[in-house]
This record gives sequence, C-alpha cells and structure tokens, in this order.
Amino acid sequence: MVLVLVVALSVLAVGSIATASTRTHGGNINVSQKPDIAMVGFGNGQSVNLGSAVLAVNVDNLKPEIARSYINMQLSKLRPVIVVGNPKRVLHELLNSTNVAAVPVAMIINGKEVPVKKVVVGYIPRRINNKIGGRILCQEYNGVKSVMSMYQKINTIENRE
Amino acid sequence: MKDLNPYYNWFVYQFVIQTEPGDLYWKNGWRNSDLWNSIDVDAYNPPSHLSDYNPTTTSGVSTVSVSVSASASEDPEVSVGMSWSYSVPDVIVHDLSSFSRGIASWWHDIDQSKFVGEDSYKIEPGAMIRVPQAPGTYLWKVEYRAQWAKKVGDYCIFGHCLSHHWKYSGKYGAVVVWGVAG
Repeated sequence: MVLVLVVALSVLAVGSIATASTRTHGGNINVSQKPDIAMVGFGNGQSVNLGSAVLAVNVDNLKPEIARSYINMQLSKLRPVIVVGNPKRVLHELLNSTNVAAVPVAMIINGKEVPVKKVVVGYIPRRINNKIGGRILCQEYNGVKSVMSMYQKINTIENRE
Repeated sequence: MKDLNPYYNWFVYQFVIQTEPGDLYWKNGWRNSDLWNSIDVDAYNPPSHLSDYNPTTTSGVSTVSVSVSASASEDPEVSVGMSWSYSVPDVIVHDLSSFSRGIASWWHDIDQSKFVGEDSYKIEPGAMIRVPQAPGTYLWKVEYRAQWAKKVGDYCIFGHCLSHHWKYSGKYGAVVVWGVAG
C-alpha cells in the first residue's frame, strides 16, 4: 500500500569522498556513495578507521545462518558491519539483513569485463521512522589482488573482535 | 509518498558520476572524453520494469533537467516523481535506452578540447524502475565506464606541435548489481 520510494545513488565519485577507485593512465574513476549516505573508504590511499566495534563478516567461511546472525546482530545495534566474500554471496546475505544492497561484480578494465571474485562491503545502519535502514557504504573491487590484501586487513579487524 | 497500489514498488535511481581527468592531477595530458552508464532493470528479474528515464538526447544546451515519474498509464493512483538538473557544457547526451529491453542507457560525449575536458565533471542521469511488491529479491544491473583523450602531435619539433590528433584511452569502470528485498 505504501509506495516505498528509495533513491538509490550510485556514484562514480568525488575525490574528497572517493572510495574504491580505478586509477588509470587516463584519469581517475571512483565508485562510492554520496556523503549523506555515510561512507568509509578503502584502498588507494584511503584509510579505514572503523574502530574495534566493527564486525567484519567473511561470508565465504561461514554458514548462511551464522553469517546472517552476525550481520543482524550488528545492524540491530546500529553498528557498522563489513561483509567480505564472493560478490553474489555478499549480496545475498546483505539482502537477507537489509532492504537495499549493492555489490560490484565486475570491473571494466581497458574495455574488458573482469569478474570480481571477492568484495569488501561496508554497511552502516540508520534508524529511519523507527525502522532500521541503511545503505551500502563502499565497495572495494580494485582487482582481485588489492581486494585480497584488503581482505587481510579486514581479517585483522575481525580477529580483534 | 504514498500510493494505493499493493502490487508494485517504485525506485528512483539517480546516478552521480564524476570523471577526473588525469591532466588535472598528474599533468599527463589526459582529458575527459566520454562517459557511458546504464541500468538494466530486468537483467535478472523479468517482472521488473523501466518506468521512466531522463535525459533523452540533448545537444547545444548548458543544463539538462532530469525528471522521472511513474506514469499514469501504469497506475493512475500513483503520483511519484523526482526532479533535478545538471550541467552539460560542450557535452552531447546520447540516449541509448530501450523500454522494450528494460534498459536506460546514456553516452555523454564530452568535448575534450573545451574546459569541460580539463576539470572534474559530474553527470546525474536518472531512471525510475518498478519492481513487484511481493516477497522475494529483486536485482538490477548498473554499469558505468569512462574514457579519456590526449592530444598527440603529428609534427612536433622540440615539443611544439604544428598539428595534432586525439589519442583515446581504454574504457574503465564497473558493473554493480543492486538488490532490494521485496
């Protein structure tokens, strides 16, 4: 009955708020979100400081119900959560915990689509009209190598939890 | 915004895309040349539907107004829409969209020889999509890619070029899958 009008903002973005970026010899092309959708940057010189309260969930290593439980636990406390893993799995698990999600599945590099094998997605929940909502904050997909190194970084955070 | 339609949800998808020319940061001569972006509404879910998109093909103007709405033909009870605008100085907007295929697609052909080629440049095309209001997951695919151009001399003496042509970079960007839980 209620028309849910969600503005989904996809940003190839501004330097000061840039997150995952593709630096080429021609220019700089970034993907991130608008500032009103709070965001965190990864990679390419962007620092990540989410504090020890952040839970990183590697969905590839967890059973779906466990991953979902971790994600939901964080979101219920309005805490940011980082979800790592296969793009389709990350999308699936986030959609089971949130209303809207987005993950990169391929990079276009010199005209060719290169599948992304692992993504790191940050998600910060927001309370809107007493409902917990939120937005995908950031996607890191600067090629498998950099994503893997990012995964190691995230894993360190996870180990501190 | 409310409607009386129990069967569908509508989403406004507003792209905000910026290209940063390499010459601005690294003085390497590469300037903005082209931006392509698209949203494929029914790439994964045939019931999803492209309701509206904007802008359409535009040339010779400095600003385009974007207005997307759910048309009365879809449901006369539905009255939703959003409007915004963005600048297109020395930019030709090519509309590559197809309602029948559920794709809204644009090519922003930037005149790299003008100021718009030298500085960061942002575009904001948009689309309204309709997905079933029923349990399930609804996905759509978004693509964006950019290309840059560099002036290359045909006859250069001590770095001074008497004539030139443009050399184009490869295309770079990403494919992103969005989803909503119905």
